[in-house]
Amino acid sequence: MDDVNNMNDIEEQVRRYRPVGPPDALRARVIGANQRGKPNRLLEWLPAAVAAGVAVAFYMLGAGARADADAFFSEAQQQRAALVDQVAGSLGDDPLARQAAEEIVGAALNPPDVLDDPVVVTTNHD
Amino acid sequence: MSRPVEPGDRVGRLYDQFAPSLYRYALMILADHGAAADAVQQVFVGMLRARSAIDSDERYLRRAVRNECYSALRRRRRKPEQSDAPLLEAVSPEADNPDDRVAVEQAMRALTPEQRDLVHLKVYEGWTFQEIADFYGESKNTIASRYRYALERMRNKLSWTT
Repeated sequence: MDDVNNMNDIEEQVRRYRPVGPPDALRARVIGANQRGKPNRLLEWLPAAVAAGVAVAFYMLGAGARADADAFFSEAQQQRAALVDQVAGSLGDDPLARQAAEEIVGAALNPPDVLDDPVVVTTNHD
Repeated sequence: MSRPVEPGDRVGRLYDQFAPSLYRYALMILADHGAAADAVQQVFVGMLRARSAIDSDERYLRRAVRNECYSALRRRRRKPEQSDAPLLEAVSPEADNPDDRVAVEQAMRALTPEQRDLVHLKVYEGWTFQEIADFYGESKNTIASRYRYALERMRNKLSWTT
């Protein structure tokens, strides 16, 4: 019975006090930490947006280069055709002349690389 | 027309509802204001990031705080900390007896964190032995016996200091 009374006495003494409450600053700290910890929607999409931007940029650059190349080859073909016409005209402007003009212009525009065809020098020792 | 609840308002509301009690609980286990604040902050931030426990009941949060406190204590064993800031305040200022309060606080500090945890739930939160046993996952008799041992230890300390 004394034990029970002693326990009650201690409890009563302890109950006169209570643990100190949280400091006022903790509320702002918790709310601030939550705000900082919140994932930023813009940042979540940033890698995908950058990847899409890079893809679009490469596509546009590729399209530009392709257009330039098309224009270049188109112009070169027109010049070649004009040259063939001119040469064929000077050779008589018949099918044989046109064939010859094609070969002449082709050879003139794409000269064979002499380094690709080693010159074989033959000497006559006799 | 009611304004939609902003996330900051919701956090503030949850804080106001639960934090004071949880902080006091953490303070009693850790006996350190800084560590108690860290534990409460950790639990709130974790809860809000998980988004699953926005309407959590206090017992869930208390368990989270308890886990966080014991994790902090395990870390503290590697890096001891000591705080002399008061743990207790008088329930009513006019009834405050500084000498008595210091004696009770010293007796409280002499307990182990587990004993302070138990005393807090029983004395300050008013839980029954059965509720504490359910919360801890232990038997009611074990809890009652440990509580009596803790109070006995406090009584010895108080009789020694007074």
